[in-house]
Amino acid sequence: MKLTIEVEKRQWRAGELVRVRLVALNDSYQPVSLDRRALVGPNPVPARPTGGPLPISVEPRARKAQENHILLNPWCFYGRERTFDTLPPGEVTFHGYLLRRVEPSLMPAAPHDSEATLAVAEPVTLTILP
Amino acid sequence: MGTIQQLVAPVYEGRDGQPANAQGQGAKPAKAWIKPGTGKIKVKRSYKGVVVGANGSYYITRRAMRRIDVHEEKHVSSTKSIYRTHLKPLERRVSQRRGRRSGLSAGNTRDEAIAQLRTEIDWNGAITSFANEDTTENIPMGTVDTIELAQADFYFDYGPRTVKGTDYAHYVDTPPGPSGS
Repeated sequence: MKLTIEVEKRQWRAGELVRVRLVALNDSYQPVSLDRRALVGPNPVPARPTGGPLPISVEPRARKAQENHILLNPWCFYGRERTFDTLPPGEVTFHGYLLRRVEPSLMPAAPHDSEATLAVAEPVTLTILP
Repeated sequence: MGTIQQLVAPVYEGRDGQPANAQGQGAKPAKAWIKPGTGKIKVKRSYKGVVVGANGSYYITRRAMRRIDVHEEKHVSSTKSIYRTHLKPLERRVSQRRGRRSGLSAGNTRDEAIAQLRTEIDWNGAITSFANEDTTENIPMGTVDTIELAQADFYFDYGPRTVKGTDYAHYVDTPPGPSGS
């Protein structure tokens, strides 16, 4: 699996709606089952945080347990887009990762248990201009 | 973070010692004390909670709001603890030396006595220690925030959701969160 964080541009003005996508690509020739609950991000981490911690991005659980799992065929992808309109001026780095198993204890850039990570996206840093 | 609301540095006063008389009696050491009304500190820490429901593009559930309050109370507790460690003892030291009667007898000259009293009080050291530790613990994404973020019951962003006919970009809740629609 390969994770990437996609953005339209690297510089934004404060108040603009920043769009960020976290994409999980099955970069193999075998189908892969992906648990949506194990995909974490995109998580914003401001270089100069203000206020309380920004919550970590996850998805709601499906009503039926099996619906949490998606079969990704070879070279197919899954992901999510999140928008942010209140990022503070300065640099903001976005993180995303895929867990081996659903973990309760998460941090923006990695789970608390580092062994639980299956794939990590290269962080992407944006500049929010005042 | 803890905000120092009032800071009145101590004003040191003192008198020279008295040498012994011709009979070798009556010698008195110098003395130093803190002028009454000085050497005061007041620290305040408060927070502005969030309301349940709409907060701009964020919808905050009742559970998340309660968890946010718990989080902010941890900051308040942290500042109180750091205050007890560094500033409560400082207040005690100042209180014990406030006024001439409670002064420190030391050295031969006023300046010597005051210098020793300054060392005993360690005003700047205590204030700096409080400020540094409070910053480390309670600055955004400092120790308290980092520990809290890793807790399984912390709040998460479950993404876009429609609540009572209004679309929100971020539905913030605590685990297990909402179920998918």
